[in-house]
Amino acid sequence: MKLIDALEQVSLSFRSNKFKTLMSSLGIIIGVIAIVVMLSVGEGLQEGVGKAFQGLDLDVITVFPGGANFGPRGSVYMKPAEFDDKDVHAIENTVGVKTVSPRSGAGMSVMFRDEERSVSLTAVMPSKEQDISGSIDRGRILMDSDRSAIVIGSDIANNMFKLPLNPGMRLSIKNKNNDVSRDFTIVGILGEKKQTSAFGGNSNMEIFTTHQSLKDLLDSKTYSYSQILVTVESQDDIETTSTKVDEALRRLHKDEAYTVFMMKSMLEGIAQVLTMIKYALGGIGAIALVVGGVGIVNVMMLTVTERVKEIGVMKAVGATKQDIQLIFMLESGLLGLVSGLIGVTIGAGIAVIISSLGDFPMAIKWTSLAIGLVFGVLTTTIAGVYPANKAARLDPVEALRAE
Amino acid sequence: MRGVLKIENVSKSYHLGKLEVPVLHDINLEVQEGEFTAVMGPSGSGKSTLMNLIGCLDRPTCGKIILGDRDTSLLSDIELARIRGKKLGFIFQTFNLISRLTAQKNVEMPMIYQDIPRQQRIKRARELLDMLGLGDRADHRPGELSGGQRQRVAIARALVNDPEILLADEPTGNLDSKTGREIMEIFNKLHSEGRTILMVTHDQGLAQNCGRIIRLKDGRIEDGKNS
Ligand SMILES: Nc1ncnc2c1ncn2[C@@H]1O[C@H](COP(=O)(O)OP(=O)(O)O)[C@@H](O)[C@H]1O
Ligand SMILES: [Mg+2]
Repeated sequence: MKLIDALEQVSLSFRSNKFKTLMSSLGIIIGVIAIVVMLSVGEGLQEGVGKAFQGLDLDVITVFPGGANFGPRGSVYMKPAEFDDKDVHAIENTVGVKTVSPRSGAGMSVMFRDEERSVSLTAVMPSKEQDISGSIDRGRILMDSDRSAIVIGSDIANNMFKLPLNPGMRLSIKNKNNDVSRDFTIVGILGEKKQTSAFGGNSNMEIFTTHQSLKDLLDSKTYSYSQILVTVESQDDIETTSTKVDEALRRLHKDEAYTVFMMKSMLEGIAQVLTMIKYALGGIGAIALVVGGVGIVNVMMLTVTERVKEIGVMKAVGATKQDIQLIFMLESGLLGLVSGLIGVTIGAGIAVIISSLGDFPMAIKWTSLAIGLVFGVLTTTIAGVYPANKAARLDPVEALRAE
Repeated sequence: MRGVLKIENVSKSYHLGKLEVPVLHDINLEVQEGEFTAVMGPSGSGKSTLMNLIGCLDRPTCGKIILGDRDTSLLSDIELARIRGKKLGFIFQTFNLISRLTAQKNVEMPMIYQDIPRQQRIKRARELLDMLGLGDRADHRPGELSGGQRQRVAIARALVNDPEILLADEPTGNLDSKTGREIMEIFNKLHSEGRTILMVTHDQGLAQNCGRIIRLKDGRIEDGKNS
C-alpha cells in the first residue's frame, strides 16, 4: 500500500468523524499548549536574568579576605588574610593576569557647606585603574601621589547637594567611627555611566581617592586591601588563571582565609539552575501531554473496536497486517501533528498575550515550539502503537462476523 | 480445463476452551477454470467455514488447499493477503461495504492494496459500476442504496482485481426473491464470460443454474458429482 493512499484513507475517516477527532485531540492540544507556555516562561526567566547580568565583567577575578559568603565552606575557622603590595606583586607576576587593582572601601560622611551625606569611599591605586582614568569627564585623573584629592561620580556631582559640585571645589570627609575628618579637593568628575547591572549599587555614586588618603582617615596602624580586582588576558583561560592566582596567594597566606571569586562561575551556576527550572516547567507541560496521550489510546482503542468489521473487510479484500498497522499509526500520528500544530499556535499566542499583559518575562523560542510539536506527535504516535497492533492482529473471520 | 482450486484432505476444528469442535472432516474437492459450483447444505454444516478456508481468511487444521499452483498452507500471512486481494473475490451475504465510503471508493478499495495507480483505480471502478448498472450511483454511500444495489457494488468490488475465483457466501440470502434472481442473473452472466464461481446458497432453484452442486452435511461432502 502506498503512503499517499494510506493518507487518503485516514483523511476519509477523519472527515467522517470530525467531532470525535476534535475531541480526542483536545488533550494533546492542551498538553502541547502547556509545554509551549511553560518553556516560554522558562526561557523568559532565563533571558531576564541573563539581561540583569549582562553588564558584569566576565574577565574579572575578585580576591577578598575571609571565606566566601555564599555556599558551604570548610568549618575550620581561619583568620582572614590581610592583603598588601606583596600580594599585588605576586598576582601581577602570575601567568595570564593582565591588570591588578587593589582597592579598599569604607563608609564615610561627606560635608559640603552645611550639608552632610553618607557615602562609601573607595580607595584605589590610580596607576592601576585604567577604567577610572578613562572615564574622567571633567578635571583630571587621580595620581598615586595625591593625598587629599577625590574623583566623584556624576550623581554625586549633580544631585547630592543643593549646589552642583565642580572640579576645584573643596569638601571635607569624616570618619564617624573615630571622628577623624580631612579636607579634600575634587580634582575630577566621572562621566555618567549607564546603569548596567543588577548588582553593585549606583555606579554614578562612587567616590574614589588614594589608599594613602583612606589610611589617613582610618588612622590605624594597619592598613590592608579589602579587595583585589584581577583582569585576565583571556576569558577562556580564566579558570586556570584563577587557580594560579590562588596558588600564588596560598604561598603568602598559608593558614589564612581568602576567597578567589569569578563572576563567570557564579553566572554559570545560575544559568544551570535556570535551565533546570525551564525544563522542570516544560516537564509539567509534558505531564499534561501524557494525560492527553492516555486519552488518545482510549480513543484509538474505541476507533479500532468501532471499526472491527471494517478491518475485517479490509483484510478480506487484500490488506496485509502492515497495511492496517500503517493506516492506524498514520491516523494517530496525523492526529498528533494536527493537534501539535494547533497547540503550538495557541500556546505561542497565549505566551504573547501574557507577556504583553504585564511585566512577566516570556520568550518564545523556535526550540520551544519544536519541542511542543515533536512531543505532541511522539505522544500520539506512541499512543497509537498498541491500538494499531491490535487492529492489525484481528482475525479476519472473527472481524467480519462482528456487528 | 485447468484446475484453479484443489482441496486435499482438509479438516477444520475450532477450539472452545479445551474442547475441540470439529467442523469440517476430510474434505476433498477440485474446481476447474470456468466452473460454476453451488455449495448447499443445512445451516451449520460448515459451508461458510469452507468458503473462509478457500478464501484464505482462515487456515485449515490439516490438509492442503491449492490455489492455481500454490499450496496456501506454505504461505505467510502477507502472501495470503496478496492472494485474497489479487486471485480471489469475496461476496458476502451481508454485503460488507464500508458505510462511510461511497460506492466508488468501496470498489476502489481492493486496488489500493495492490498499489494500482489512482487514475487507473478510478477508471476501473467506474467501468465495473457502469457494467453493473450503477453508473449513476457511484457517489452514493451504501446507506443510500437498496439491498440489490449494495450487493452489486460488492460484486463490482470482488471483480475489480480480475480474480481467478469468485467466492460468494449466500449472496442472495439477505435479498427478496426478485432481487435475488437479478443477482443470480449477474452471476450467470459472469459465468458465461468464463468466470470461475463458487457460491453457497440455500435456494435449490438458484443452485439449479449452476453447473455443479456440492452438498455438505455435518462437515462432510455428501455428493460431489455433477447433477
Ligand atoms: N469461530 C468459531 N468457533 C467455534 N465454532 C464455530 C466457529 N465458527 C463456526 N463454528 C461452528 O462451525 C459450524 C459450521 O459453521 P458455518 O461454517 O458457519 O456453517 P454454515 O455456513 O454452513 O451455516 C457451526 O456449528 C458453527 O457453530
Ligand atoms: Mg454460513
